[in-house]
Amino acid sequence: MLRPVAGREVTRSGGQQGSIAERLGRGTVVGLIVVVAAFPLYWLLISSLKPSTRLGEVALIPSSVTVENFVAAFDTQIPRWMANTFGIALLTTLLGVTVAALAGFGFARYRFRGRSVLFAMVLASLAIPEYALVLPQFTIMRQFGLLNTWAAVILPLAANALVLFLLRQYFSQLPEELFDAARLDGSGEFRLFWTVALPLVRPGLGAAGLLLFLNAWNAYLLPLVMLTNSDQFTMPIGLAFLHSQLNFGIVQQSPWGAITAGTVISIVPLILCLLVMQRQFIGSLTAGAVKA
Amino acid sequence: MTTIARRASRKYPASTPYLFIAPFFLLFIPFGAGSVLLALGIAFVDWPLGQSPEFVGFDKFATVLGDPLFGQAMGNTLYMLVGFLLALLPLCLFVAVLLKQLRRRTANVVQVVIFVPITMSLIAVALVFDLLYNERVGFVNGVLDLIGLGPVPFLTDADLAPWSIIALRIWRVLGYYAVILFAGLQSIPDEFYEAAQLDGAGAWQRFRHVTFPLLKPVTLFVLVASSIAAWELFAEVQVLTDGGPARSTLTAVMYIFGASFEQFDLGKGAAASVVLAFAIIVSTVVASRLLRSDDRA
Repeated sequence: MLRPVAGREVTRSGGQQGSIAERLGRGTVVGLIVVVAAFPLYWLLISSLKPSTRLGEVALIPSSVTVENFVAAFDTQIPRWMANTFGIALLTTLLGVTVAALAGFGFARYRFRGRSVLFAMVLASLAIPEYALVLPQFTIMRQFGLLNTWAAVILPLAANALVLFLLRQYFSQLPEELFDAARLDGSGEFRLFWTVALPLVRPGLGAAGLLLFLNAWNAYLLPLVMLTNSDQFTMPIGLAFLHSQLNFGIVQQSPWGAITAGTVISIVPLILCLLVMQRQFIGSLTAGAVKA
Repeated sequence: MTTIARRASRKYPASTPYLFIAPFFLLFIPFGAGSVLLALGIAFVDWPLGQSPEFVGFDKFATVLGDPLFGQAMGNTLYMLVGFLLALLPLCLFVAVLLKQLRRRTANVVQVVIFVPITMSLIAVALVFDLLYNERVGFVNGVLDLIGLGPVPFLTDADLAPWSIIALRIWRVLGYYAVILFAGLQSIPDEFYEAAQLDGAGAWQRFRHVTFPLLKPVTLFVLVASSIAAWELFAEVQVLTDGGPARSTLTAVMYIFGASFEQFDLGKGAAASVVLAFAIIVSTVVASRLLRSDDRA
């Protein structure tokens, strides 16, 4: 059974127990955990708002605040990299959800020759580490002349076995009577999928979409291998590229400003998503954990 | 089920299911299954980038296994994996148990805060940590400097660098795994704890005899998922240390990347990938055995 257990609200058993000393101790530890989790992000934000000459300052509240780093970031290729990242993530999500929803429906609602073998093959691929596939995927893309195109990143990322598995679970929970009734009304099979099944698995589609989007947004090894032209970079590749210039001192002007501002820009969309739809977000990301 | 299937089989053309799964397999066959086979194939050829492949049998495996650098890369990866797991597992269990003891609203807020790092790319996390570790502009070194403890070479000391990477990794995934374990904890019925308490079990005994055994499947997931991710350590290391200093943080995937895309020896890269994939499978089996044998004890 697959059920999104994480992100669910705490039930009865929650609640503070114990003596005042215990509660105080617990409060301190929780406070510490929150600070450790949040401080590096706070520091990133502060660093992005400091004039570049004061980057090394350790004051927890900066003496002066400026947006010059964000302005500087717009003079680099960062806007272009953001657009690439957004385009690649969006198209991966659309394509990935489409193919996985169709196939999930097929595997969940029909019995056909080869079904178990094909599904077992997809499941087995979950055990194959990503890095092992990047090399053959690279040779395929080179063969088809697709290096340095969005397709080289989108196509491998869109074939996501975990997403197929997730959607199949959602489709298989629908009662067969629903489909029988629609068939009596003369609906074709694709119409059953489109008008009967899809609207009922909307939460599943959301979870699948989020998984695909996050995965594509943050992908590193695959775009690093496929995209070598800096015009085609995604944010992770571009930021790593800027940072490497820093290490080798290639540029005189320190790119730290663009790096801190760029990092902030690149993490804000997903953090906003998390804050807006907390439970669904956490539930989608932890869905894979409850397979067993 | 079979009756449904038989009844259903008359309701639609035999080709219908295949049409539904076809688009997925159109992508999955080349980039999933096909790529696995291709990776295996490439491991047996000499294929300098831009030339045509030539069959060389197990030569590439011999090269890789005989390369002390590969041994070092696997050793480093394993070292960081073990350090990472030994720190991560108790920490995320602790945070999960703590979350369960909080008020509902507090737990939900803390859950969201500690979940933020997993939404960030490894590169973003690496850059954030450079702002802490860096010897010139890093916050931690700035503070240490203020109290006269001088700069600590977090990323430039061969003994310290692997642990700096481990700390970064833990920061990124701790909340994620804690939330997963927390979800598992919530599915344990309260009655079990009440019964244990009636039998006079203390907090540790309740954890040892109720929480831990019932949480085992989720713990196993955390152990397996985090160790696979640790075997694949690459992005943050590439950005922060590039395998240095003195190759102390050179990882297996970094070796594979270097062989394939810097030395342009695809066969060597693929052979190393196969060896690493084998190591991952072995460690996954070991991890599941570890937790299962505990069952009988």
